[in-house]
Amino acid sequence: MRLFFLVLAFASASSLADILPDEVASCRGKDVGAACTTPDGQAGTCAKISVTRPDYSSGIPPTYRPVEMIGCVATAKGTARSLSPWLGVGLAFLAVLVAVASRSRRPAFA
Amino acid sequence: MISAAPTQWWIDGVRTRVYRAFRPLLGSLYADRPRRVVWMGLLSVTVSFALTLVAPLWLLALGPLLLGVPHLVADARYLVVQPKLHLRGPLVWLAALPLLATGFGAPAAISLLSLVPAVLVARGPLWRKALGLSAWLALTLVALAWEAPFLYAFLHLHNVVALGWWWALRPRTAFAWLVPAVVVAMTAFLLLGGAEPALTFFGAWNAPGAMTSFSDFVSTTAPFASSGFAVRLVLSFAFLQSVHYAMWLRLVPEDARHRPAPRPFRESWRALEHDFGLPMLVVFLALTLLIAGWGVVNLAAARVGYLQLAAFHGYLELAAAALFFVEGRRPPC
Repeated sequence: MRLFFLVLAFASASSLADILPDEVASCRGKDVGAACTTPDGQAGTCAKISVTRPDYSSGIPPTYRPVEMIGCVATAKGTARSLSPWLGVGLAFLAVLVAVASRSRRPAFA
Repeated sequence: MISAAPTQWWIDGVRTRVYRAFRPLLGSLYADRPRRVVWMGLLSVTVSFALTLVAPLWLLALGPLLLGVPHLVADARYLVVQPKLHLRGPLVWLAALPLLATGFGAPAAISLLSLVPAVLVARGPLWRKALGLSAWLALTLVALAWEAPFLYAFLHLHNVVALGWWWALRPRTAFAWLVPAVVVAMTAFLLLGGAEPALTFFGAWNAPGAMTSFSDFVSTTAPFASSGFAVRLVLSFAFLQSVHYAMWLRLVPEDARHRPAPRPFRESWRALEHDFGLPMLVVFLALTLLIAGWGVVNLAAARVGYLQLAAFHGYLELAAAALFFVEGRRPPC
């Protein structure tokens, strides 16, 4: 159990579900030219992009201003995250689950 | 086994002296656990609300860095270790795999798979298991069809789950309803825009030292909302996140303890050591210091790093809730 928490802590620290997917988030901590994934799942490259952002520093309503940021620009189609590999993993997991559940219900003959 | 503590920590001595000084005034509030928990809850909620009005950006920036890891430890302690779920066989361990996968970028539908072994391993009637699995299936279908909206909803609503967990621990008095009632009232106040004049008055729209801005939080927690309502959602998130920490770090431990009287800090430490073992506590402490230290160097990056570390815990809370729902009982602590 302790080992599990240890592994979980460090594995999660290295990467994690993109709770907040956007083209800027996928280039966080990366340099221009680094590989990235666009929010719609295409392979891309981090590049300087101009984004219009709301500025709330004077309250509501915000003012809008263009800001230069590093964002993910698509370079090729369909090579990034898609659900299908995870779907396979999920189905395999359910199969293992059924096997373990049925095994644990089987009477032991000793 | 927890052995008797022959010596007292200095901080216990300080607390005893403070308690004695205020006993004539506050003794009745402090001595009775149900009453103590309610006023602690009200105090925590009020402080969270005040900080949301005065320094929301600092609250959002520093809260996860200082309290994030300790609250994850509390999650593990009260949801898994103390109910001894980890001793229930291989099915429970299988529930850990989707949580682990969350750390590797798995979509929400995969993370939700942790509910299935939790429901299967629960000792409860078939109809409750069927209900638990139906809930899992419904959530999964929603996550598959509308993943981003599901994640945003989960991000905002999971803060409230802690309130539910605290509520479920013990039977509650009518007086205890004050805590959720005040949380709901304050959240409604924030969502209706009541906080905005206060933010202007306190100059809280900016916090350059926090290395973040409302624009950042709007884009990460409420990009789907109009600019005005998005800010209100950010404020309610800041408030409810703070309440979430208070629940796991103050109220749940207070109620989960066998002994109704306050426990000396030294004894609390020994109980923690009993639950996790010293090596794990050292790891948790190191992780807490690492993230706090990272925050000193780069606050924004440290916050993102912590959020990456913590993403699994919402699903852990859901899986444990599913298990105790099927068993139809309060979590044993």
